[in-house]
Amino acid sequence: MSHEMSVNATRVEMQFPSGQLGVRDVSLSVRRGELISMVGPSGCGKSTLLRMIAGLMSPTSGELQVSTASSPLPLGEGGRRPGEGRPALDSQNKDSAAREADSQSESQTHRVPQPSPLPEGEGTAATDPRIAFVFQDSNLLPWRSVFDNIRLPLELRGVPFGEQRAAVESSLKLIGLKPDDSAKRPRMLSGGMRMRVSLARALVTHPELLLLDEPFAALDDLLRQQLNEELLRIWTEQRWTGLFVTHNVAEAVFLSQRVLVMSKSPGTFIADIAVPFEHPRDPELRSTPEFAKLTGEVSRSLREAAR
Amino acid sequence: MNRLVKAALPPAVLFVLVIAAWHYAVVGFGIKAFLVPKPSGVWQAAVENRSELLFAIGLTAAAAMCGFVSSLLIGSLTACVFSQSRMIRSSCYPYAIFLQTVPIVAVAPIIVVWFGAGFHSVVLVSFMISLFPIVTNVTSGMLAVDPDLLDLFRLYRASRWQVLWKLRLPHSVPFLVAGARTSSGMAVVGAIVGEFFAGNLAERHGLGYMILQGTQFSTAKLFAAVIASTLLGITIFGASTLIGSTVLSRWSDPKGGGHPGA
Repeated sequence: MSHEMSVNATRVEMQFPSGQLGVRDVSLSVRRGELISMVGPSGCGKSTLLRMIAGLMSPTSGELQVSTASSPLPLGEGGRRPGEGRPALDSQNKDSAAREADSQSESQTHRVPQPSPLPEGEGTAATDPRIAFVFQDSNLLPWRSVFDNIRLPLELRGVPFGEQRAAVESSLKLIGLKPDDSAKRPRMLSGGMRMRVSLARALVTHPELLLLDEPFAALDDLLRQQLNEELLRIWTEQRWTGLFVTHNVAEAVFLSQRVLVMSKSPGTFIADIAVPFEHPRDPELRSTPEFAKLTGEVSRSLREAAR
Repeated sequence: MNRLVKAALPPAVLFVLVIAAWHYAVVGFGIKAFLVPKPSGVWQAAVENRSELLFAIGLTAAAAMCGFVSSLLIGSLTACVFSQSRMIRSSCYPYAIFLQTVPIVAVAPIIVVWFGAGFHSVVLVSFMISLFPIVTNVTSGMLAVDPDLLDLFRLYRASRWQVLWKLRLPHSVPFLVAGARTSSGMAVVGAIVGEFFAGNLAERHGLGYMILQGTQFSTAKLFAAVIASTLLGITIFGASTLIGSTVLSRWSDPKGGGHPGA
């Protein structure tokens, strides 16, 4: 399997230049192919953690590793420094198979001794090409068509246009967009369609780790449920590793295999709730008593987190 | 069609009324023609000097267009440089704003001293006055890029050049259009002011020189030149607004086809 990537964080802390603590003492272990949700009060640092995993920010202390079993893609200049190879396993991760896979893998480590100023945007490349990120806002370029938006990641990597076209077409199909939609500009699309385009753009690179930062927060409930089902279908097909940040408890439970609950700012994980339902999951799962019991449990934990 | 008539009728009626009021005021109060000529006198002066007037309009328009287009290019280029380095920006940007407030009438004689009279100096004055709205607008457009979009480009390891060419530049297009609208009107003012100082040696002269001449020889001709300048300004402003809105609609509309900077 190529779409496999695991994340290990040990006592990660993020302090902003203002001195404010974003997250404190976060330890996290995500196994390959796992889909995990993170919930927590607003401003608790969920997004900050996601951005650190994406390589868009560096932790001020602690260790953060993203490792993979597949052959490494060319990292280019300024890529992550090759790590010491052996990822620190968290106590939560007792899966010996995963441990074995980890030890063979090539892994990269962020270890930043002092706070590094956030760069202005250009010329920084601490990011890993196997990671994709879906932003809260669909984050599309308004001057580009749907097609040109989706091919952007490939274009930036210098993939030949013919390959771009093929990849965009399969990505469009995967996410349930019609070929006619590809010439439209984002302005002409509904919020749900824009988010589909944003997902298609993230999936076009065949990422091994997909980070989603409240992607469906602005959508109405019905649309959100539809997109949850689509996302789950795609995950079941492709089995990338996924980290999904959300405010919505039902969404978290429906999508993931585990729900992590974060405390209020500065956030740290206070609960790790397993979601035992089998895949593929039926939309009707949401109406079962077991589902209600689990969402109740997560909500209770979330209330404690906000206290 | 009906709507067009409804929109055009009130200003047309007002125009006729103003012309009539002008005519009867001059006649009624017995104002001397060298102070205020009658509307018919202005028209007559325009017709009599039509070849001179048309040539002057053409020359001034050419100078304004040269100044405007070079301010678009150099202004955008300057903004690109400003967007690349906080140090360059923080040291130069205050002067860009300061220079914007320097009265161009005061600078024009210096330009003549340095570069001599002639078309090139007229273009230079026009360029200088129309440059700064472009620089300030495009720079703020380049810096106003959504941080999430910058993160997206960083995530895909875009080079500095790619961020500029595929993100900052296309993002600043609406800002460039807004700047160009201001700039186009100012370019005409710059060309006429430039001709006051730098156009007076030329045998073939523009509207600015005609206005200066008119103050000494014929008020009717002066009025004709002033009105021609106004019409020229309106035309260039209108054209740039039209081009701007076309560009803008192509920028974010599905029918537009291509997009800038790809």
